[in-house]
Amino acid sequence: MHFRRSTHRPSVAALARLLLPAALFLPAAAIAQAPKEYLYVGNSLSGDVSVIEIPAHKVVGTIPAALVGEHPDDIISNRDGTILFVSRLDAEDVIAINTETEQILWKLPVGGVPNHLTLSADEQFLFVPLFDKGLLVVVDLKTREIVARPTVGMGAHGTVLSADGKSVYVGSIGGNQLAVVDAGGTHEVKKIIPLSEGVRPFQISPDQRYAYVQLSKLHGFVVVDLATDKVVKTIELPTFGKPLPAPSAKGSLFVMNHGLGLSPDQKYLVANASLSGFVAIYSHPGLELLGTVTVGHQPNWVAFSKDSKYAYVSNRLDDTISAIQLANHKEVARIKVGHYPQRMTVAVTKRRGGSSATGSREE
Amino acid sequence: MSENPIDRREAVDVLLRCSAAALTAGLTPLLGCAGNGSGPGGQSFRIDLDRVPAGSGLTTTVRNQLVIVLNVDGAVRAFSGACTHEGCELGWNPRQQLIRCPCHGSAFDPHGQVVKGPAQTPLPEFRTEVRGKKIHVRIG
Repeated sequence: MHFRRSTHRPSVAALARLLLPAALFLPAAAIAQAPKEYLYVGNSLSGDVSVIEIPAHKVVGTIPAALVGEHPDDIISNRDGTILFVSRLDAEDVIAINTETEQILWKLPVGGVPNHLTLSADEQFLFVPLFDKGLLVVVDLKTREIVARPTVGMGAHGTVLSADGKSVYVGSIGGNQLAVVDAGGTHEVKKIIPLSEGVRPFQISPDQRYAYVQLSKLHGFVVVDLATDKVVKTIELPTFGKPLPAPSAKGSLFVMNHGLGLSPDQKYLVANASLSGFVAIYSHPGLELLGTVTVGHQPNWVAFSKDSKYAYVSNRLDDTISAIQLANHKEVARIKVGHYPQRMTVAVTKRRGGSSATGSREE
Repeated sequence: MSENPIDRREAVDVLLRCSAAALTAGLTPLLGCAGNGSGPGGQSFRIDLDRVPAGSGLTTTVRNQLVIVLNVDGAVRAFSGACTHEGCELGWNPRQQLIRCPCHGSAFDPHGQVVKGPAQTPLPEFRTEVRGKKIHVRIG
């Protein structure tokens, strides 16, 4: 069989000859890149967002403070990686950022100091805990209106969506409790789980049997049985024979540890030892200590690459991110970012936004 | 930022002042015995005035002590740069003209007074003096 090339269709070579010169004259920013995986780091004091390429572990851009600012607290992305949501403490609002253009899509005042964000399973609702009001603001992202404000406990701080999408758990620092809120229809509080201290970062096991909860002055985390709402186990992080830092009015010593992450493949639970400068890696669900990794000063948050190969820890007093290879418990990179990096999120996106120099505190 | 150590010329000057202070017991130098050091009058450091332009604030670390220096309403002031709630490092919000905490949102006015919790107590203030183009701050 012979194929005859149509005389009406330009050959590939001819097309290339036609298009290549035009492409060469396009500004780099106008050419959308192929989707890549990025770690977005909210730098709370410099007010910008560092963009780190995974797995290169290099800062490839910065969403500047002129766009973000106002002391960003949390940063999360939607599932397809097209939008970042950032809660801003000073402005008491949430902003949405297009990850491709790195421009702000909208801002929404939420009426209080917003902390850690979570999206509903269908991504229609954004859950915003208000630290100073003890409320969980529920934002309908279709209408961009606040549709509910259940009371969840003073110092409302962290939020985690259950794997079935039916419940959003809200931890409160002042209320010493987890509130379980209906994430679907009613947005009402379904139950309260009292705990002995302020609730810091926490995770819910994918089978929804357990909550893993960091408490203000515990050098470790507790395991809460969600059927009985009782603490069934306390995991203490290693001390390496050193005395624990004592809570004090001087320095950031009111919270022993901040940062607890469950890897996407659910095999690892990573717990920050914030005042001791290391992370502990546990197997999941077995909770066997697999290893510890020394990181920077005051690790504050944990994020993971999509393939669960790397954990990322924000060292907020060093202005760095530690990239940790989970399989061998090794820090493989320490990346300089903006000032006071705290929350982070990972998104796969086609970014073509401009970048600027990362703002940073003077050293 | 760790403030720059004093230069050699000033070190000599500081040494002379400290020696003089030692000889005249009780007459401690106004700003302590070292440009960035410690002595009978506590620790002190200096910072270029042009690094804190009018309406701005700068957080720095001096010997593990967080300090926020403000130049607001024609006055230069310095406070502890650690939030009185949980000790997080404070930052200046130029739009609001407030000192804000990036952890839980506490706010302090340019006089260090709490205007929004959860912090309950004002920021400790440090003695400051502007000499020429330098701000001198005594801490401790």
